[in-house]
Amino acid sequence: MCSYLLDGSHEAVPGDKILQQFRHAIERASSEKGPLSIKVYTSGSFLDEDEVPTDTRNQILDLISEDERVSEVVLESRPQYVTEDSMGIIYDLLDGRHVEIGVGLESSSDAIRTLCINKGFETEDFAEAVTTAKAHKIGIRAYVLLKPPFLTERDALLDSVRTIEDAAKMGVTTISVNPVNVQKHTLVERLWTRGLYRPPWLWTLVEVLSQARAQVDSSVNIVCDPVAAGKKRGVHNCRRCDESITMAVRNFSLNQKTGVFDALDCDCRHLWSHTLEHEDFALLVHSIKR
Amino acid sequence: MSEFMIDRGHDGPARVGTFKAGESVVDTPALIGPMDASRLPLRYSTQGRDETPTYSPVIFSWPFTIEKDIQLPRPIDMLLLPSMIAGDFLGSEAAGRLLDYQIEALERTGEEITPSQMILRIPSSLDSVASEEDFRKLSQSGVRAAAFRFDGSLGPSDYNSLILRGSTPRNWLTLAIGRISPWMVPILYYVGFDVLDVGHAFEAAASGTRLWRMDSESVGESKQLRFCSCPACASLSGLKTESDDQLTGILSKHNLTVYEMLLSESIQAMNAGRLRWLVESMTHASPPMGGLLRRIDGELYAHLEEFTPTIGSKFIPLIGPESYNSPAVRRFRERVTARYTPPEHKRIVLLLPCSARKPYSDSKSHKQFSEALDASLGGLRFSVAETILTSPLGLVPRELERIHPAAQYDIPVTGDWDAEETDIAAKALVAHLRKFEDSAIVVAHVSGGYLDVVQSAEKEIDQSIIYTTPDHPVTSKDSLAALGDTLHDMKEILNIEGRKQTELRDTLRATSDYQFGQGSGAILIPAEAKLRGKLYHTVTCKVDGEQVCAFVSEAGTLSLTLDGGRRLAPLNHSWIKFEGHEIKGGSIFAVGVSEADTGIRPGDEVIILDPDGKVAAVGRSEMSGREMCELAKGRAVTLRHKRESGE
Repeated sequence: MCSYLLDGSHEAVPGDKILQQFRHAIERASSEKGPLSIKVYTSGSFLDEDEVPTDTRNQILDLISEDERVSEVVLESRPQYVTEDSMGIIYDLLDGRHVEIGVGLESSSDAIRTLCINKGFETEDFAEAVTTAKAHKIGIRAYVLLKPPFLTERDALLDSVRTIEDAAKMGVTTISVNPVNVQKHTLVERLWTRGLYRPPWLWTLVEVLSQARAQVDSSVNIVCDPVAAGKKRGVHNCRRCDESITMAVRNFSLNQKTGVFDALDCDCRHLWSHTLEHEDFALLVHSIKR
Repeated sequence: MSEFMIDRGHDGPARVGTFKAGESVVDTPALIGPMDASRLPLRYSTQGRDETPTYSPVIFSWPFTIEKDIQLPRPIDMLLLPSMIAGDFLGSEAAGRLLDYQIEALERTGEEITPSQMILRIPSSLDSVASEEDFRKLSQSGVRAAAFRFDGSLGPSDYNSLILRGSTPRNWLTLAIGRISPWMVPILYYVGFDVLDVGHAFEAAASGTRLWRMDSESVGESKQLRFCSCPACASLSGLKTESDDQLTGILSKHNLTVYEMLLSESIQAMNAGRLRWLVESMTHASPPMGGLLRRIDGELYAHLEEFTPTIGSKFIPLIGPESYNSPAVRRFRERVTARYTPPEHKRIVLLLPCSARKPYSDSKSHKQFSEALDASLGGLRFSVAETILTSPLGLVPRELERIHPAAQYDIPVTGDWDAEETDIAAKALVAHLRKFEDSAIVVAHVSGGYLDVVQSAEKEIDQSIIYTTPDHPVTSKDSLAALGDTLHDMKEILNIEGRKQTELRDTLRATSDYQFGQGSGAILIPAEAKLRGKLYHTVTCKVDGEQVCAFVSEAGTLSLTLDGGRRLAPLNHSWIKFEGHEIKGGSIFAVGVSEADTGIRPGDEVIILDPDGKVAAVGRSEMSGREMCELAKGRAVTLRHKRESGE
């Protein structure tokens, strides 16, 4: 499902080019007034020195720390780079800023993360990263993947709810729910074109957010900004209700109130609830061509 | 502990039986649906995800995401082993692993759940040859049920699931799950499924679709709704005012009724020996349905044929090309080719067209042919091998005209033959004539499509062929006169002598060869045998004053006496080894059968041997030979005669 491999450059990008790119982005925001939030999304691990050389990383962090407007910083990394060293440096350089490291936990089930996602780390590694970061007053933003392939709709729903609960227990500060969308030239696309994968229902997403919100401490934000929502390659329902539900999801992310979902209804809910029960039994992907 | 028992009744692999789990008993075939479908005998649910009902058995699926702590709530429930959705995408090697994974899961559950309470999920990409070994091992470990998935597209994956069903042990309960449309019910039942998933009734209802026997109707789009008399649809009149919940409820009830009607129709058809006809008629639901039956007739022939009875059904409609290779038809053609041997005194082969009335001898046209034979040849007519050309049986030697299905089949008569029919009959004719001397004369009293058959076979026929009246109807006065003249001439040319009536002997020997294999006729009905009776009623055959068999016109077959059984026993054909010396009652049950001829079909006349190899009884088989060895229960043979105790 991940197309980062295909998006990336074939050659190693030297540090000065990365720095140049960062400066360019900051310049474009030069007219903005504070407080600002900076999200350094590398589509990889910002803390991996093979991806971003240590010097470059520190220079970028320096640039951020010099900018008085910035109050919040989000970086991305796999858990193995969330170490005493890297956290220490970030804490030193960005002292006073609210810092979060976005980590793709995807699922708290090792079986699902390994078999369905091929992620390459264990839940334990993630939990350690949370503890390490916390010791340096750095928060963790857990990315939760809704409906990787080879799961039934209800497997996916229950797994995401459980993952959010588990992540909250481990001490993450924010949870970002990411419904799978069908990217070009991926395994998921091949499954999808054969009718062997359907992106999650918006009803499933609503259910995940509602159930998780009810279970998880209110200090932990649960957010979701679904990619390609309402499109056939993204999280979707029946078309008729896609827009209103997507809007409700976005509102929920802002205000954390599940009341935004109360008034939602559509004929397609029957089909969704049939799908939840019957897919588990038949292990047949219930996708209807549209 | 759960148990599946197959009751008697065969029409192809379809069967009726009972499935016992704990204290609950479910008659099969049965439908399975969601928890709120309370009218169904079986319901599906998921471990830890749904509520359990207060009664009626539930099949629980075990999600692979739950690795341990699996429990069955009640002894009446069953567990569907874990697998991965879309796992078939990964190919047949991965399918093997998915099966292994289930076997591991099965072992993991410990003693609380027995293997007999588990249902294996058969990946549709599994290799059917490799799987037989797996099935055998699983059978040994106590597994007795398997579920096969259908996506409803009737494409390669559904086809492979059907093929895999063919290699599943006969005593297993088999489930067809997934997207199963009503029109798939007869064919799934026919290939041997015992439990059918009707989840699609609810899927369709939730999509505003009413399902019908052969198609479906979108209720939202339809301006004029199709009439339906079912109780659910009675409340559909004020449709536009129904709320969505109500509409979905109405449609799911209607859809369920359609499945129930089709299943009931299928069971009745099986009991009447008309299931194959029902399956063929349903191929018109869609081209993929037609394609599917033709493909399984080829690939699954051995599986379908093994369970197709050799007697029974009073009428066999063979309506279109989907009948050409139906198991009963193909078996007849193959047996005539392999087993029929013309008596040596047949010097003329007379090719005749078939008649609508069966047996042919009873028809007006064949009575006219018979009169022509009598008039021209008199007592010499028995030197003529009368051979009836027909579609799709190919050809029927006169001696076998009363045997199943030759005496029962019925086809639409148009006079036009399609290329496949012509080819089938021409091939049969070539094979038939190779059994005669090259000096024999073929007299073709045929026209129209029958003539095309003979002409298309002509270059492969070694004998001389004389066409009596190719351009005129065969029963016209002139044509019948031409037939008489030709036969009269042949008598002179071939210098035929001897006036013995050989009709009874020829018929009984040919029938014996057809039933018990080539050469058996001469053993069962030796030269010194005394034959009495009429072919249209009964003919008895006595050797040294003891009856050995009787030809029964209604069935067109021979029924044996113990003496007859003793005569045939050395041929190693149609034998069953019985465990024990004394047979009580009028039947032999599968549990008492230690070994049997794998060539035995339901309906066959069989010889029962005791452990010493002595004939203990004769009777009519109720199952296939392999079935009576593999099944633990059920009637294997209905006895006709048995040895008196001490005999």
